[in-house]
Amino acid sequence: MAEWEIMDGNDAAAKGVVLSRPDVISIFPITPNTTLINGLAAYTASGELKAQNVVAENEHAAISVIAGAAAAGARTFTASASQGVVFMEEVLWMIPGSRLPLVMAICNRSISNPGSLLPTHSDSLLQRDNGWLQLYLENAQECIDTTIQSYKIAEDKRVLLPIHYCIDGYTLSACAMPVNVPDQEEVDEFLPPYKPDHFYLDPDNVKLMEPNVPGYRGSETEMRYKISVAQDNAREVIKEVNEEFGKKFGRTYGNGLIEEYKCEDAEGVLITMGSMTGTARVVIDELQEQGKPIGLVNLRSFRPFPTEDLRKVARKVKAIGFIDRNFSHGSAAGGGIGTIETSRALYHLDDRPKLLGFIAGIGGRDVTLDNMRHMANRVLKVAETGKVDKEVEWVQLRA
Amino acid sequence: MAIEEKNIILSGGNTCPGCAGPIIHRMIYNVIGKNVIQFGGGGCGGGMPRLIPSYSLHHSGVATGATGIVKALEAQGRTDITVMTFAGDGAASSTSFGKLSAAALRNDNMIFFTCDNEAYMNTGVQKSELTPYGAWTRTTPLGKDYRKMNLPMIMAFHYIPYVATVTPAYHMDFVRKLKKAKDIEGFRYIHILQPCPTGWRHDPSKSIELSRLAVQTKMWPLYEIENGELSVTYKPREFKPISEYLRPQRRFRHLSEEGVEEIQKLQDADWEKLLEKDGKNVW
Amino acid sequence: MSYKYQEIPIGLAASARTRRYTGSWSIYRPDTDLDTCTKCNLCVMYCPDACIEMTDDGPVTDFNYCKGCGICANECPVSAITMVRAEE
Repeated sequence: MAEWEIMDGNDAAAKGVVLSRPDVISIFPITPNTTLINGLAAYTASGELKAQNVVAENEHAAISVIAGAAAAGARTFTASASQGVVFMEEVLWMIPGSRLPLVMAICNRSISNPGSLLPTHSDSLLQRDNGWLQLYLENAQECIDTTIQSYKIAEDKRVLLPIHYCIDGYTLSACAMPVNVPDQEEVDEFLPPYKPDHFYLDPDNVKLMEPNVPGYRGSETEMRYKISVAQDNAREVIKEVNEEFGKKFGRTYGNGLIEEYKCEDAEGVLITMGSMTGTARVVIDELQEQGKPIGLVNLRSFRPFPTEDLRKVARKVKAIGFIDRNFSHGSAAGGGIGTIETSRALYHLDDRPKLLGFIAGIGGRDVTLDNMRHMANRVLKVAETGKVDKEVEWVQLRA
Repeated sequence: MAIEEKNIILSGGNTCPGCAGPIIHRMIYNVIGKNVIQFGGGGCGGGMPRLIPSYSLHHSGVATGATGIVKALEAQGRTDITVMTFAGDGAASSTSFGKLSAAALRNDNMIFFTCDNEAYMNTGVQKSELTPYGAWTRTTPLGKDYRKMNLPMIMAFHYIPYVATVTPAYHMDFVRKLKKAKDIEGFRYIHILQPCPTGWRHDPSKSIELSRLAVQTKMWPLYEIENGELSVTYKPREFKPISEYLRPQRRFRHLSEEGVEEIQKLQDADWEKLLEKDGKNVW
Repeated sequence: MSYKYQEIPIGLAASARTRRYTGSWSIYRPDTDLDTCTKCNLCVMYCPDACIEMTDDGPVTDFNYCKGCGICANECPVSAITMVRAEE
């Protein structure tokens, strides 16, 4: 009998980890993941989480412990945020290359300098090139569900890549809601134990280390291509896991990659990532009641980027506005990272919609209902007139 | 060929002629056996083809990756496998000293070998914190002006069950210490002096002879610290002068007579202090 | 040797496990006097490339891998090994 508990994002993620039965975890605190790792330590001490817990001396050590454990065939977990993620960047690149399926929670937080304790997506988006999969979560219920789904996605034989799931620091990680906690037995049926057969340190089975096989040095192009193929496979796997989860536990998140919210007759859509989607839903409802044809797309998966799904949406609408909670100084047309990726996805469409970029929420600045109304109205205006007045707008700039 | 089955490190690797590294690795595997997982290979360790499973995270993650492997094996119940981690002197003393320190404090169950060739050799002879006083390297062309870190003694103060210094010329001592380390549980630290003809600039045939001279001139005392109790394991009646060790290496050729004198005095003082603590607890 | 991407095993960490016939590196090679040899096995233990095998007649060097470093000659306690110029 599944229970309901009031939990915030961090508590939900910690409970999700307990339900997924990892073998080895390694934790290091950094605001805003502190309550997550404190929760994991408490679960280990009480015996509810039967994993080996290594409290590392810094984030770089935490991810190194996890990488070694995964190489030896264990299911693992760690969590970090801003400066910690950048500190462990060196090892984060080695893990997809070795095809170790880890699960890591990133509690998004702005990177110094100037930095803040509140969310900006720069820390996780920094990892978009190295092969990690990335999912962005909207509410605490999604945190517990996605933790369980992440293991299934990463460990799938067609993928075998590590995965980040990103919780906005404080805005989501410390905001509570009633969460439906799945039963351990049902989770065990959904998520079988991890049994690697591709890369597994074992003295009895040294097949990959055989020195008589000539070295694969000089084959990085081919190895990297294989990782790209795995990312392509991940699109299917994420959709399948989402559907299977829905059948078993009764909850789905769009099609797994994106969720279209009231886009049926829309002429303009806003695309959002993370917790600001919740605010956007309220504004879209309000504007639709006034008869305005505006819809919302929640981008759940940033890697692999849902190119085909966005193209399907783009063929229906006249204008798209992407709200970036990040920045890329000096970028093409000054756009944020999501805007730039979307423009590449839509570039070769015969009749492509106009694309507006919005930069909002930097340093954790609250993206309010008024901000959302302003952005929605600008998209509607561009959809109506067909003219783009300003390609990229820093929405909350005090000027 | 029959040789191949006996040796876990195979012939035909990329190590320099006269490298003491494969000699040391073979001595270790002959004692500890094949039921091992290796983490890290030292800097030049990539040039040694080997028949046991290994994984590495480069020089910045020396002991922590091995911690992960140890915990994974505990979680899976495969506790009969020995986890060994190799680090070069660069990784152990400079880039990842903090990692080594924390893993030792946690008393993770592994054997840690520092293969000390006294500089970052694989990248072309640059100094590390374990380069000796006065040595030439490409980044200290006038000779290093500060002393070598006393890493074994520092590791002893992490309250670990076993610390030992060894060198390949004294192979029976090496084997005895390895056998002792194999049976202890917890973090065991073994520091090996590994001569390098490329970086120390000596005749490749003299590698083992130089490691013998290092011990005979007090430059590298052989001792072990078991649960805090120090015992010096090689005490010759007479010592050779330090110039016999320094002269064959071109990296010390630039030293004047005063420089050699200074090093002799430092080593004499160190040896006296070590002997004072012989048989006593260091902590 | 080049591999198509489908043939490469997944997850292979960067490794330099190539073996080559390093015998071509040597300028000098060991010449062992089998009468003087006492079969102490020090040369077998101290060869960095594990090229020496002890047989009933004495040590046999595998010149496919010998790099000519000379440690065997230097360590032999009865000076049974001398380094001679290798034949081309």
